[in-house]
Amino acid sequence: MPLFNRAKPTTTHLDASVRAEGSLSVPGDLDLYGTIKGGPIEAKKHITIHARATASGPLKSHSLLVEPGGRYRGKVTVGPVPTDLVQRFGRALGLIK
Amino acid sequence: MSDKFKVTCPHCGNVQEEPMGAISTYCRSCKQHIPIKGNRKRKAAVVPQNTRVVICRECGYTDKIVSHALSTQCENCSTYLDLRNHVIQGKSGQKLVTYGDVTFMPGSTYEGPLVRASKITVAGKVSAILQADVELEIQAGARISNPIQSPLIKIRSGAEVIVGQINTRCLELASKLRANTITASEQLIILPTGMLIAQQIYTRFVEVQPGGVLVGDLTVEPGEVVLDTTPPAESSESTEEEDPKLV
Repeated sequence: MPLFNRAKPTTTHLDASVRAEGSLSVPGDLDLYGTIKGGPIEAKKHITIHARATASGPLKSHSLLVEPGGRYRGKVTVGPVPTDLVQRFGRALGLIK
Repeated sequence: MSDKFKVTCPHCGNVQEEPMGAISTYCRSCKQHIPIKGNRKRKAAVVPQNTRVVICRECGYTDKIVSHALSTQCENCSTYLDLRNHVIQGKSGQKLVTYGDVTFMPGSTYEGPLVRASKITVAGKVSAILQADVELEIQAGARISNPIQSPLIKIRSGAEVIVGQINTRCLELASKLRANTITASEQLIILPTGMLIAQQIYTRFVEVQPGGVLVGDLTVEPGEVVLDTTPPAESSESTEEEDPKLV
């Protein structure tokens, strides 16, 4: 089930007790302490995956920090990615179908 | 001033010359031992020598070598160890295996099978497998197109690196980097000017600072990321197969 937080472009905290499956999109920062599986996970600004947090699935944000002890597995697109570059090399590397 | 003085043998009276720093000697006539007293002031200068630790890559034996030595031999396995620093300018292609440092100057072009050194600094165009025991620094203007391996890899702004595989503990990226597989067993830091596009990325800690770009299949696991420490196969074949296939 998609989760949205469009109220304020501030930090969204997901507590360590959160065990979510599905997509997540936040307008500001995302602080992840719990578990999100499936994705896509999207934050307009910054994503922090803290120690003992787990995330999987496609991830998109402006900047990213996965702390030691945090887990992530999936395809990431972080930062101001030039479209032509992604098209050119992303396809070559099999990142884009 | 003469660096020798005369010693008279107390046993046979023979007079012979000895270096100024001598504290005892043997008589060349009667072969008796002669302690030399009162020569303390003229003791030979002992120059303190800095040492460096060298670990033999063949057998792992650790030895302390005078820091300004140019070469030595492993005391355990007798392997020749080149300790010189090499600075590459212009065009070169010789195999470089040293325990010193290797620097590729701006404008230099190197095509060879392998470069292995303590620290490698690249500011030129290098087509060779690069293995640094301590640090590999890729500076502005550098172009690298072969596998690289070092515990610490710093890619400065303005460099261009397209490689098949990177094995490291810490990777600090401030430039464009395209690779098939990146294993950073401890940390991966992408600075604001850095751009990393890779097929597979394995690490324990990742930080993409605002402005930095990361595109790829990322795996971050808290456990130990297995770092392939075996040296890449020495080959002078074209790297096209190892490089990402560009459309």
